[in-house]
Amino acid sequence: MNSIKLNILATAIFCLTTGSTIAQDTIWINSGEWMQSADTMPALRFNASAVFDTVNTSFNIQENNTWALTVINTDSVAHTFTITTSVIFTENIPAGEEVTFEVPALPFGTYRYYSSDERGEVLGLSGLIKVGINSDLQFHWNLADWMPSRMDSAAAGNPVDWNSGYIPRYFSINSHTYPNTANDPLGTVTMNLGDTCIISIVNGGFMEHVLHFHGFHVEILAATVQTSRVGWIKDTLPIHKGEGLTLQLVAAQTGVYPVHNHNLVAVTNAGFYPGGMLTMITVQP
Amino acid sequence: MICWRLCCITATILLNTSSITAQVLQPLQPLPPIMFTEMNGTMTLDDGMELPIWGYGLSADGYITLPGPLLEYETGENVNLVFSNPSPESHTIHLHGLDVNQANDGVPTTSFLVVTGQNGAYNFTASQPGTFLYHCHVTTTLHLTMGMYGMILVRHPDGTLFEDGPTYHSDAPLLFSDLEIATNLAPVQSYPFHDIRPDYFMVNGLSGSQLDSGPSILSCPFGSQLALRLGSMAYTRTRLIFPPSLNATCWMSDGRPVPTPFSADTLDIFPGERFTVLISPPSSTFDGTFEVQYWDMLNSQHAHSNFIRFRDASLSTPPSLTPPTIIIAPNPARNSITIPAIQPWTIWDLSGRQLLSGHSSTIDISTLPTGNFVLRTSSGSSPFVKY
Repeated sequence: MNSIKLNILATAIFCLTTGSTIAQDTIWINSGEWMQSADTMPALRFNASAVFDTVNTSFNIQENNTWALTVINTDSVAHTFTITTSVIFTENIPAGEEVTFEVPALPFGTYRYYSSDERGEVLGLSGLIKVGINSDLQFHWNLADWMPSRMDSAAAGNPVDWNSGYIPRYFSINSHTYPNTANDPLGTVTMNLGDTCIISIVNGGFMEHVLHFHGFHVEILAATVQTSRVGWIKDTLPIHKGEGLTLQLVAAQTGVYPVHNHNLVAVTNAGFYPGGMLTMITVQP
Repeated sequence: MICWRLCCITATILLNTSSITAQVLQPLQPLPPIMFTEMNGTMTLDDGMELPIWGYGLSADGYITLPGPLLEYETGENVNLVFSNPSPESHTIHLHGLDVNQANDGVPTTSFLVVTGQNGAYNFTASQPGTFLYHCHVTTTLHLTMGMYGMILVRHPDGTLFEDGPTYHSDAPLLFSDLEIATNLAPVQSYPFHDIRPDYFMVNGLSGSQLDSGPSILSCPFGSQLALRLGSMAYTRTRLIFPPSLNATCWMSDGRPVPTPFSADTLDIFPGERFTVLISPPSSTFDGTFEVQYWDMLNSQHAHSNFIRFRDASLSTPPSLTPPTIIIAPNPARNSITIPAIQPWTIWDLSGRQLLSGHSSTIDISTLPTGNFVLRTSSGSSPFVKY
């Protein structure tokens, strides 16, 4: 791969990072805070501009095409940009620098891109790449779980004790927790009776998740871990750590139906129900 | 056993010298079961501890169980599930996986609540065969954890799993779940709900040595297949490990056939998932177990194992016929029998299969075929004849 290191202040070619096929994208590693209930947590995100946004940006690219990406790291430490496919693709992004590199061609599906360094992983540097999804009606859910004490420790530069008990306090979809998930234009599924939509999901958290659809079954179009399940039609779908799933949903009946994690610890905010990894599907007549 | 669905048809054939007149009385239309809920039940753990539960039961039985009663339907059946709530809090029934419409979805904010002292009814068509679940969707983190869940089985009518699917001998519903004992002991103190740590792990509400007796022992005849109806209402990931000799093959998940049936010697079941797996005894002398592991989903730690016994049907021990300790009247009987007191009972055939269970003193046996059976209660057992 070709890496071109430039100064952070160099002019970057910026292209739209969501919704369209692009030849080159630029993303920033930004630091900020993520507030939920009574907790304010240190946060890192991949954003489409130098302004911190709590939502990691997503990409929509054509399948089997290589792709030039520029990453500008405004954080104080280096990050390893990573995509896990059939092989693990990595690119080092030094602190305060900008790196342009070529992302290998990816087959149809949904993939997680992330920082594979402890600080980046714990503070939320994890996004989603949709490949070959050309539907006019598409949504995505970037799943994550959050343990504030671990985040505070990582932000302070301490090594993560992976053997200590993990008890996440928040569970999010696109960095939103219910009820805010129901107002997420990227993730709240709204469609008309008879429509077909594509839902792309990645699990960017530290635990397995399992989503249950009310009212509908969905077909698994692609999976990066559970590859043998492509073609299955299910209403309850496990998503392994780091996995990408691509689902097709046909709006066969009208109404408002929840989709939620069926590991019930994950439908809470700071221990209160309902919250967390819960959103709604609305099908209009 | 779909006791309430079966209708008595009495045929009276009148003969005279000139003609044969057949008068078929209209079938009786027994009412479908009414589900109810209570929040004052108990269950017995494998160490003998009595633990408070909330749960569902059948109004005709008058008591709740963990899990709730198995609901059985036939594919295409139009169901009117009546739900009565005499308990102190509002509840619902969410029909997990049946893709019912919004009005019948059992979610308080989008469907309806059944408040204290009220009845509700869920109307839906059981359009797909397979294994489904039900549970309360009110403060799910508490109500489900306390025991408000059960399994739904929708059978394909011709003895196959689904259209053009494999045939099988019989069903074995296995619902995996867990609970945190401290939560059941003090549910009002159960906050925070993100930190529920299960410490008791069940199969059909039983655990440990409870699974090594009576109806928990699975069987089917050598040369035939037992359909394991697997579902999870746990906080943990359940992993089933079958001996390869059982030829465990997964045919369905979440009420749909899988595109390609696959060998399922190791099968993970996440909370809310269901699978249908066929197993068969490798010989007429087989008597073994398969393992059910429970894995903490937060830290991927193995938390517990249960073992389920499976053997060839010829090895199933028929219930003891002597001494008869329960007075059954009449005996022989055609439609119903009576036992001295209201108490939990089960009825078995002589192959060791449990056919009916209940909690009443008058027992409807009209659905049984003619033959010899054994009625069991906690105080003993007695044979009876159905004619």
